Amino acid sequence: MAAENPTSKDIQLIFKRLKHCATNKACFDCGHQNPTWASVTYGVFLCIDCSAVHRSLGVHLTFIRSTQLDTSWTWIQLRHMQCGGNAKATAFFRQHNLNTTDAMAKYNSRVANMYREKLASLAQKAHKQYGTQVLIDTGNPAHDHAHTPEKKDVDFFHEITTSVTSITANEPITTNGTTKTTNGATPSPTVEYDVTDKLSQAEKDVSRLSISPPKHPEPRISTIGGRKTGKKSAAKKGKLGATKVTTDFSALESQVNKAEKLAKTEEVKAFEETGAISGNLAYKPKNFKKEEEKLRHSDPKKAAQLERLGMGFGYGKEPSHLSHSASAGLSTVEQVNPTSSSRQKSVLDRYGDNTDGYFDSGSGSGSIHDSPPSYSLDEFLETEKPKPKDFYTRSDDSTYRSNARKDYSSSSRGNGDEAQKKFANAKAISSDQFFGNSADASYDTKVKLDRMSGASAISSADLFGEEQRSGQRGASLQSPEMYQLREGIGRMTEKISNVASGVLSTIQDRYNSGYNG
Amino acid sequence: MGNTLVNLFKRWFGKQDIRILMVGLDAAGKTTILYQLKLNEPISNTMPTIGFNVESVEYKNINFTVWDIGGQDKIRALWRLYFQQTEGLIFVVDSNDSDRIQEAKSELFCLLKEEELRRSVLLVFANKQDLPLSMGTTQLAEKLGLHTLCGRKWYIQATCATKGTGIYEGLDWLSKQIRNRNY
Repeated sequence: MAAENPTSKDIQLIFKRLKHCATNKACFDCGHQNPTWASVTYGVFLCIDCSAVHRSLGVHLTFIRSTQLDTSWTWIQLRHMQCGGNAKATAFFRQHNLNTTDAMAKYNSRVANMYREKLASLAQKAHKQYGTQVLIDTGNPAHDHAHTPEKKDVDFFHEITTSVTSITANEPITTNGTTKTTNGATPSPTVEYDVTDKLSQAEKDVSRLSISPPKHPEPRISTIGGRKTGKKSAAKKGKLGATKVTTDFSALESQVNKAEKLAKTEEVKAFEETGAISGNLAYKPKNFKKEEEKLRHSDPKKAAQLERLGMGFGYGKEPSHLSHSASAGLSTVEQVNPTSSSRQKSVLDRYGDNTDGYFDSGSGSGSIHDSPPSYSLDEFLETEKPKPKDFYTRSDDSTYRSNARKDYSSSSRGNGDEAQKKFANAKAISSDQFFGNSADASYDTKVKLDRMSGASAISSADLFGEEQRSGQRGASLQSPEMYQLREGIGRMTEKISNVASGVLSTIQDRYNSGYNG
Repeated sequence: MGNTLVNLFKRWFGKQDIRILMVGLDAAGKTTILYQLKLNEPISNTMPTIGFNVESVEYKNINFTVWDIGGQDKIRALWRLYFQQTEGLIFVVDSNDSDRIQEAKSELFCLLKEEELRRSVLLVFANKQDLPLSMGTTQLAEKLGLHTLCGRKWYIQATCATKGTGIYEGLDWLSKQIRNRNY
């Protein structure tokens, strides 16, 4: 997908290409040879000395990255570099009569601001147009002739995808018919059917996007690909001959199969981490079997017909043959965020259908329910890390209320044990992911944090003052308050000893005087 | 008897050596802070640190050996080589860089997971407070998820490294923590 970060290979390739350009071989500010740093904001290459100047200006004016030491370039940043370049920036600045060498004046000026915005919009446009394609046509003559061989490669893949999509576009005549029949036969399960179909379609779309470049809204004038596809479509339209089409189809079918195999492996890789989604995938066949059975019960004739025609529900028997199911070619346009929607859906599904399955499949949650209420920081962090935003997204009204209730119930807590239980509780719920009462621990502290707004320094002692004191009571004298207390006690004992010695001395004096007198 | 007296004397009048690790994303201002501490004069235009800088700074009878490690992606992998015997961790954040605050958070949480840094206290410098779009400490503490760090002592201090404001306040807290720990 477009949000994915480019690999280090992509980054290296892009910078290799960009540095072929003569103007990019000298620092934009000082002309020093072979710059290895870049200002992403302006799309220019800089030497290390000038990068220091840029860094001191702040990221709101210019953002510096290394072309060699930084590996986390994003696509949009790379597009900045591809759309920009030293030559373009120099031309723009010269055109607007900005010849100052003082960096502060130069990059704080209106002209620089204009160029910044222009480049940002260009990069956005290029990013939308090309997605994750490594090399793009930026209209920069210096770059263009440098990467013609790569262009051919790209066109080859492009051709495959266009041919694939042309086939799927031809199919809907039959698929529409089948969906209509199913609609007529079973009005109730079709809703579920549609949703799951869309989900699987979305997943498929995602996987397809990851292996091949996306379709261009405004296709470039390609040298080979364009002509070939044009011929094909003309042949199809002109002849309408069955033999010709079938031969094409078989060849293309094998291609599609190959692509799907690739997609499958990609998919497996992509969804290995998210257990919920894999659970969803595993869940599907069962669901469809159920539906087929339902259909059989309600309308045995229709079901038999469907089976005879080999349509069925597609997924019911073999989930690997996705493309031959009637539903596969339905919705290719829609782009759904696969992780969030599918996860929610899966949880809902499982929860709605059989709660046993829910608790069984959530291996993590089950183990956490059993675990004793001990609280270790590492575990807490680990459970939290994959979902760092959860605390914020979940602090809506409903959770607020539940938190308030929790606070009432646990308001009597006074010792460390209670606090530990509270955190253990939070941990268990945070791993639950769906019901989301995890915020209550962090919510308290967040409220405290809000109270401290305006302070120039905040410490953990300020924020967790109560808990820490309760936790360390009588154990050790580590917290600063206890330290002060100890000092105070020391002073008190000093005073007492002074008083005592004074009393003693007066008694002695009196005794002496009495003795003498 | 004599030995304990000597130890007591050392503790009160001798210098303590503390190893401090200073890390953060690139261009956060680590090197500027280090040399502001060392030279005590305003500094501008520090070059990107390729590798590390190390200086020892004496403050409040404590000898801080501060290691400043570069923040570029490839150098970040080397941070872990400097973890050993680190008693204080200084994490420097560019308060002006709201785009990369999530990246900073993930790096920080990776650091705090490390076994070797389990005992070290955390000082966060919210640097570049002089820039127009800088975030306050409250906002940063929230965005960095500091309020979820319960088992660790942390302190976030607003600083401006080029002017040198706030740095010594942070060191004050650090020295206090270290003194408290050793007694």
